[in-house]
Amino acid sequence: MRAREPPPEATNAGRWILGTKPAFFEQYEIEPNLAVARFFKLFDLEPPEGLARQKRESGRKGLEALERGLTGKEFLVGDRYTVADISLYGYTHVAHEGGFDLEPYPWIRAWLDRVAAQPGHIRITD
Amino acid sequence: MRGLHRTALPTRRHTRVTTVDGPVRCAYMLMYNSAVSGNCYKVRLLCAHLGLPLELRELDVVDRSNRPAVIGDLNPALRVPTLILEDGRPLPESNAIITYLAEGTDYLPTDRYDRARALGWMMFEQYEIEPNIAVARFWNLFDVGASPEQHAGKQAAGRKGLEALERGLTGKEWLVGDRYGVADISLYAYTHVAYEGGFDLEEYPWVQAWLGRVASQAGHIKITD
Repeated sequence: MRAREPPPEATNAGRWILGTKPAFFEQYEIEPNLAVARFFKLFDLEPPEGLARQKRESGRKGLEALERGLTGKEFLVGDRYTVADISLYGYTHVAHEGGFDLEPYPWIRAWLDRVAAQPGHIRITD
Repeated sequence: MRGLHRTALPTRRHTRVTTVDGPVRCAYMLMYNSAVSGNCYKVRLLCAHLGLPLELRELDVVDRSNRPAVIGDLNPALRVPTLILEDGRPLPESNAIITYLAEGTDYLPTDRYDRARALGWMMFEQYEIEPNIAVARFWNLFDVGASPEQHAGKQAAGRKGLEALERGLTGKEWLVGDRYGVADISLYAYTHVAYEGGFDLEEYPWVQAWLGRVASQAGHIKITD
């Protein structure tokens, strides 16, 4: 658990900037690994073994960081569902299609369920 | 360097940043820094423009073994830069940090569309530029044993990023709107040292002219300053 709770963000601007932080993380640590590994599998591409292994390792590192970021929390920023959650949900919820097992990440799994339970939620296939 | 305070204090976590009871206020913002990192340079450069004092704590970019102990509860991704605000709250991610610091200044667009475009360029930076140019530069600077295939992959992907940047700058002075801002600072950081990663900017005249404009802005500092 975190020693400090994130403080309530006083302004919309504050929420906006705090939301950008997970969004950058998503584009650097999650998307290039989870999305690319999923792309390989969905389109039945056979990457060189070194590349596939590197995607698996980097993807796990990204998921571990996300698990740390969600530990003790309901959502990524503040106490509500925001663009940061939407951004990270995009590839994390289909990580299994890239061969990633979310079993070791209980905080991620609980958070995925919370996102999917939001009103108006649609599936990636909808 | 104006506004920057390098410190020889031991990098003992929590001595000034937090107590068991929670955050305490500091005179200055503090940043876990790497002198060689373009990501950290973005923050140092914006702080120089804004005249914001910043205390730096250096972290090793090669031996990262102490990172869980030093910044583990400040940044889940264990990366520099990690900024600690005056009130003790941590803020990771270079582009999020400069966006935060630029709030209310001319460096961050207020228009909703321009603001989103600035964010888009910074996402592009972290996806197309940084993972290729910064990593190629890191391999060169620290003589890391990457294979020729790995080098070739970074060169090809980095050139693709630079070509996109050239298209984005063609006919323009700045990336977003008609003024220098956070998007320019973000893209400048690694593009201006691309040659250290083995990239030749000769083919990108708009990128070159823009680099010159960035370097001539009031308050500019170099990555080595």
